[in-house]
Order: sequence, then structure tokens, then C-alpha cells
Amino acid sequence: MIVRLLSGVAKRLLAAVVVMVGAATLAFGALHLIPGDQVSILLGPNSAASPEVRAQIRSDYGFDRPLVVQYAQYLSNVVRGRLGESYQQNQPVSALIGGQVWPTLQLAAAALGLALVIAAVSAVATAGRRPAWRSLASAWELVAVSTPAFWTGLLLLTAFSFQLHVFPVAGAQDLRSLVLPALALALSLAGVLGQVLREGLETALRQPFATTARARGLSQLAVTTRHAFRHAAVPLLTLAGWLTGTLVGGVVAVETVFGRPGIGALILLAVSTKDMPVVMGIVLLCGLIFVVTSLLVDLLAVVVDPRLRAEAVAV
Amino acid sequence: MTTTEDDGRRTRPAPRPHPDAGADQDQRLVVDGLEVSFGQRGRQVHAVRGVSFTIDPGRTLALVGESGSGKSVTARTIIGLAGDRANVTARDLSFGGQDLTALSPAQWRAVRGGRIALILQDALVSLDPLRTVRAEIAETLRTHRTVPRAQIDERVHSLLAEVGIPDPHRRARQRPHELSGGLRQRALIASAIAAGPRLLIADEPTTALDVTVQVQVLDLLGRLTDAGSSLLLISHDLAVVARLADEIAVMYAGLIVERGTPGQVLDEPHHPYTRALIDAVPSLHARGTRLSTTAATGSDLDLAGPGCPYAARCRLADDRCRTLRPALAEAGPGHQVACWHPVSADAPLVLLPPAPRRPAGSDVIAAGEAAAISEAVAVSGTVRGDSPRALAGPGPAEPARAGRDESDVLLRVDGLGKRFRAPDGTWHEAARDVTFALPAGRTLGLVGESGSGKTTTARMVLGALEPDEGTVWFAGQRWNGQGVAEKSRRPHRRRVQAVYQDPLGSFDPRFTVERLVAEAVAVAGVPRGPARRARVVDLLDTVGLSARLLDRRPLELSGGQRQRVALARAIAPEPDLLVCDEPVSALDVSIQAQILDLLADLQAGFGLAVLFISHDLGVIRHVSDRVLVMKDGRTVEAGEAEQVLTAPAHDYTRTLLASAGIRP
Repeated sequence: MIVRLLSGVAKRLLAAVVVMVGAATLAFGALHLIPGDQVSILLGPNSAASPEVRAQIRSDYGFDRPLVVQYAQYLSNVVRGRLGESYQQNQPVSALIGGQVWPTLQLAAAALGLALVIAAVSAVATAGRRPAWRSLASAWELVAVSTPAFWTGLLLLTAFSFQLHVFPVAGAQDLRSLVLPALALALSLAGVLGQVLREGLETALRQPFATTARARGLSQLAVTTRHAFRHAAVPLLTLAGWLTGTLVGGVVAVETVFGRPGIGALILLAVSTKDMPVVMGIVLLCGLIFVVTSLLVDLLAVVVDPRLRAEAVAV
Repeated sequence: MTTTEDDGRRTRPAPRPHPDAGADQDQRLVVDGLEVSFGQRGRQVHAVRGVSFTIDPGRTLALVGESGSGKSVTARTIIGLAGDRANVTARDLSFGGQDLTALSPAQWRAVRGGRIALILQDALVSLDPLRTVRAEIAETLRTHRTVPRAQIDERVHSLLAEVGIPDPHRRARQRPHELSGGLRQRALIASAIAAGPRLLIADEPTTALDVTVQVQVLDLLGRLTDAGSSLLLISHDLAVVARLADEIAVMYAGLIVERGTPGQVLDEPHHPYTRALIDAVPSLHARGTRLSTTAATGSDLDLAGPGCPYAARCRLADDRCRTLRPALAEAGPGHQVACWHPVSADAPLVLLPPAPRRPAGSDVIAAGEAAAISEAVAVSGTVRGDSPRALAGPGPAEPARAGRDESDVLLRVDGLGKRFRAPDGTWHEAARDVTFALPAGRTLGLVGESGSGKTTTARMVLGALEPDEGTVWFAGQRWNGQGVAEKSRRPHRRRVQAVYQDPLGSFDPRFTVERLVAEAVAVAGVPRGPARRARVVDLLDTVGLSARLLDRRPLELSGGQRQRVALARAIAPEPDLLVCDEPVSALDVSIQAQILDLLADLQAGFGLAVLFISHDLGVIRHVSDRVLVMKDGRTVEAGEAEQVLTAPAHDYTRTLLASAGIRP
């Protein structure tokens, strides 16, 4: 049993490594697929460097070596944590990302947590209740899903910062400045999660065990929270994990709207100046976030549904 | 009606007075004029229409009826769980003097589990699959504060021991899917009785269980009523009811149509519906007799009309039946019937004219049917000779078919074995050395409990699963075994067809009936266009379905109609062998009877060989020429059906027969 468990864990880790190598390869491929000369990109459009200088740079960066060698060199650097130097900012990419990543992770975690809470409250309160309440909740969820986060952010700013002066307009100095951006990002997530959770809760509440629990003397709310919630949690977790992987895109917009430091500003700058080492570093970061959340979701799913244990080991 | 005489079916003593007998006498359930409807004005469905009964402490009332008869709604209403959309009215609905129609939500929560408990069908889904047995039972204890928090674990274990679960400490830590069917049903009962309720409502409590386990669970329920609890038993299974009930009420279309002791209702039924229910139980009838007596199927009925709701299905119905609803009237001491034309016990319904709905090609089938029956009599003359019903079959013997001998074997299964790997890594032998032969045109019944290897064997016969050892021979060729390629089977695939328990699972829910059947017709090589459509209509007609159903989708069909469509699909390529895996297990007994009759017609009409798999000995006995009894993957007994079922040689077969209530 232990051996099978360990082999199961080993398989998961191996899959994670494969995903990371894939992400690195993709980043490397993107660099070399971009039209134009690497050196020109490195130097920027307005550079007047002489051909000799360009040749020097080419050989310094190893652009003259065969692609396979460059690829191997790149992978071995990545494994050792060296993501290269930014073309534009003359800093190691790892230092650039490391300096900006914490406000972003803070925002993403806060948004995800907030979204889960909003979704849970909205779904538990309305699942299996009167149709009127359900339609109301579904309606707000639909609006939340279809409103882009930056627009929600602008509305929140207008209301709470410019009009009511409750929250600061910009910055990341304290927790108060986290509230509005996190909320802007959380609302659309909460819409999707809420719908999935309500669907799951109602499916569970239709099962015979829910009737058994009611017949035991439990209230509808107790059956929903103690029994149905756990059944609905597995699809919710899966979706939340997937959404986390795609959260980076939303973060860029919201960080820009609220003038927060973070990966968003870094991404914008790197993409607009074709600062390829930074872009590649961020691609790897996204891959890492995705792999870690997937592992976490798989682990939590097994905790929530013990029946998955046998399958998790077998896969 | 609460004073029912003991008719000897229950061997246990009359209810003992409980220690606090005075208070106990108040624990009586009174249901008087209960009406339950669903939906808004205009589109209301009346599920229960004026049902009345009482249950005294320690007594058992059984509500019997088919699905949709209102028996489950009645049960749910008594525990306040009929749903938000249910409109409940009653002259009196009370338990122990407490008016159940005027309870606040908080009061209901105290009643549920505390005074009235509900036990549902299959504990695999009726207990929360994600929680341990301990958590489920402890929840009842905590909700009703039955014992102090510190003693909860101890009480859980004593409850598990009380319901007969061995090793309660280990079982309490397990989840429903880790327990066998019988054990988890006991655990479900333990969670229901944890807070000491005085009324148990058991809704089909043993329907999902194997027969030998059914008996144990029923005995457990019997013990609980001996200890003073009342029991409202809901079941469609007359054998289950006969074992446990002090009184039986038969429900039809939301009404109680007959009520009395088990002796009165089961042995001297007065209502034609009760009679039809009993007649439809296959174990009571020898092979070759027809089971279905009703003229119309449930879906065509106008149940809400002013007359007797059974009139549309009843052969005795006249104008009065259709316009005026009969009330329950005394037919004997404690025996009540709601019928204008109560049948006397001796009048055989079989003498009534046959069902008008015959397939279009009925002359062919009728001839074949006669042949099949006479053949059945001829082949097993000595053993079947004592069965008067079989001998009463219509028509003389037909020598051509009766002369068939054992050398004409269509399917031969030789030493089949199959092993599977269990989740914990150990090997499990699903089938071992299974051997049998099936001649063309005959039926082999494969019977056994869940896990006995029946379905594994069927899948190997179908060529859906490769055996580890042994060979399946079909029509003289190697059909399945190590090294037999699917490619070599494919040209003959159409000659072997299958029918399963739940056609809903094997039908594409978005296909119409026409498309479902046309798919099978196309396989048989009928070209697209009018010819194919005509063949579809023809097939539907053969299985007794109207062409009006062509545009319906599977979800819009009744269970019986779905199984008829499945049969139409199966016979479309004109197969030689039909493998039926529990084809009637999910159906109400009267629908089951119709499908079994249809299967007999088809078999006779097309000369089909049938491999019939069922856990139900009664069904097996009714359809089979030969029987194979399986247990844990092995064959324990095989032989002529009557031989095996009337003079079983193996202990296990005897246990099965006894559990199913069939006396050899």
C-alpha cells in the first residue's frame, strides 16, 4: 500500500516536472520564433550600434551557437535558477520577478479567498431554496461573470475612493489598499464559482442521503453545510485551481487600474519592449503557479472525498 | 382495522406491552383523509387522495403498490418531507396525539429522528458516502442530544452491535462503500433508530439487497417492532410484505383499494388490482403461462377522473366503474375493498378474454407460442407434468420442434475463468471454470447474488471481455477465448444481441425512438429511406409499441416502454442468441410480467436462444429450461429448471430458494 502510495506521488511529481519543462521549452521557442534579429531586439529600435558591436553582443549572448546548444544551455540555467538578464533593465530576471511577485501573490490569494467566500455564502444561502432567491443569485452571478475586472475596478474606485474616500486610490502600502483590487478581481471569479457550487449543492441535496439527514432532524441549512457542501467541493476545487492558473491575465489589468506594484507592470513593460528574458521568466512563473495549484487541488480533493484515495493511488 | 388477527405468517409473538405501557398506547399514528397534491392550481397532480389508516405501537402496516401509486409520498408526508411544493391536507394526521399538520420547522426537527425515523432504500446512497458510519450515527445522537457528548462513541458502537454488525469498532471507522450491502443497510437502520424513535418508516428497505441478506434485514426490522416500535413498511414486493406485516394496504393511484391481514389480502384478494399484482409474481406461475392480465399500460390512464382509477386497466370495469368511484367497504372482518365488482377468491381471472393488444404479426407469434409451450411440456414431461398450468397450455404438441435434441448446441461455454485486480492490489476471481451449453431456441437461466460472476460470464459470452482461460463456442466456431480476435467475431456480431437492466444507460438520451431502433435496423443492412422506417414501425409493432412513440426520447418513455424499445433493437438484426442481463429487475411487477410475456412471444416467434441472467429466482424459474446457480464465480448447481428449483441438491440453492420465499 505504502509503495503504491509513493509511486502515485512520484507519478504526480514527474508530471509536474514534465509540465515545467514544457513551459520552459515553449518560452524558448517563442523567443526564437519572434521575427527579427535577436541582437536588434536586445538593443531596441533606436540603437545605432555598429556591426562590430552587434557581432560582439551576438557572441557574448551565445546567439551564434547552434540552437540545440542554446536550448540545452537555457534549460541548465533554468534548473539552476538562472533566468538570465533583462535586456532593458540590466538586472537579473529572477531579481526583477522576485521583487515584484509578492504584491501580486498577495492580491491573487486575497481575490481567490474572497471569491470562495462570496461564492459559498451566495450558493449555500440560495441552493434548494425558493426559485425567486435562486434567480436573483443567478442574475448577479451572470452580471459578475460578464463584467471585466478592470471595469469593476473602475466602478469600485469611483464609488469608494473618489466619492466616499473609504479606500486609497492607489498603492500597496497596507491591507486597506488591497481591498478594492481584490474585490474587483474576486467578483467575476465568485460569479463562476457560485454557479458551479450551487449546481453541485443542488445535485447533492437531491441525493437520498440528504433526505436521510433531514429525516434525522437536521435543518436544511445544516444538511447543506454539513453534507452537501463536501460533495460540491470537489468540482469547486478543480475549477478554482484552474481559475488560479488563469488569474495572471486579470491581475495585469487590475494592477494597472489601481496603480499597484506587481508582476502586472513588469509584464506590460517587458512585452512592450520585447524584453524576452523577462517574458520567458514570467511564462515559467505562470507554469509554476499552475503546477503547484494543480498538485494542491489534487491533494485537497483526496482529503475531501476519501473514495478518490484508491483512484489517486492507481493513476 | 388496528385489531388484526394473527394469520400465522409472523412467527413472532403478539406485541408485548412496553415497560411504560400507559405512555406507549399514546404512540399511535393516525392518518385520516390524507390528501397530497403537487403543483399549482390548474396543473395539479394528486398523489395521495384520501388515505386513512392507523398504526398502533408494535404493529406493522405495509403499503403496497407500484411506482407512482402514492405510497412513498404518503410516507414522506408523515415525516414532513414531501417537499416545499406539496400541498398537504388531512382531517387528522397525528402521532401520539401530536398534530403533524401544525408543526413549526423547529418542532418538525425534534420529531424527525427523535420520534419518527425514515429508512430509505440503498444505504450506499442513503448514507452520506463521504462520511464514516460513526459520523452518520453520531449526527442523530448529537442532533437530539440523546447521550452526553463523551458517550457518543460508546453509544455508536453499542448501536452497531444492536443491529447485528460484527466488529463495530472497525465498521464505525469505515464508509458506506467499504461495507457490504447488508452491513450498510444495518448501519443505516442504526442511524435511524439512534435517538429511539417510536415509529419507523421503511421505504423499500430491502429492495437493493440480495435475497439472503433481505431476510436478515427484515428480521432486524421485525425485532425492532417486537421491542415496541411501530413500522410503516413501503414495498412493491409482496414476499417482503408477507414476512413482516400485521396489516397490508394496497395503494393504486393515490387511493387505498384493499386492506386486510396478509392472509386476507394475499390469499383471498378481492380487488382486481391486488389480484393482478399477485398474478404478476412470476415465481407463482409455471413456465409457459402468461403473467400479465391488465389491458392497458399506466401511461394511457386518466387517473384523475371521477370513476375508479383502475377502471381503464380492469377487465371487470363497466360504466359505473368509469363514472363513480367505489369507497372502501367491508369484505370481511378487518378486510376492506374499494371495488364495485370484488372478485371472489376462487374466480380465476385467467378465464377472462386475452389482452387485446397483440402484435400485428400475431398469427406467427401465436403459433410459435403454442409450439414453445407444448415443447416445454414435452421436453421435461416428467418434472413438468405435475404443473397443471403448464399442461393447460393451448394447442397440441408440434413434433418438429419438440424433437430437438441436445446435439443442436448454439452456444457452448467451456471452462471460462476471469480474474480482476481489486483496488487493494489483490486478485479477485470473478468467474472460475464456468461451463454450460445452450441449444438453439432454448433458455438458460443464470442465477446468483451480486458478485457471483453472472455479469462477467455474460460479458465473456458477448465477446466484450476476454477470458483468462476457457473458450466460448458460438454456432460451432471459437467465439471468445485467448487469442480470438474481434475481427473474426465481427461478421457474426449481429447474431448475438443483448438486453440490459437499465436501457436508459445504453440509449443516447438525445436520440428519438425512431433513431434508436433505426440504428439497429441499419446494422441489419436495411437501406436508408422508407424501407428502414417501415421496418422500424414493424419492429415496434412486434414489441407492442405504437408508432406514435416514434418521436419520443428515452426520458419520455416509461420503464416498460424503454425495455420494449431495447427488445426491438435487439431483435432488429434477427439474432440467434439473446443475452438478457437482469432485463426486468428495475420494473414494477406488472410491467415485469408484460416484458416477460413479450420475451416469451419473441423467443417462440423467432426461435431465439436466450441466456437469461437474474438474481430473482421467481423470474428465472418462470423463463428457464435449464438453470445454472452461481456463487463467488463458481457454478454450484446446474440442471433442468424444475429439477434445480424443486429438488435443489446444493445447500446454497436451498438457501436462495428459502430466502426468496419459494417452497421447493
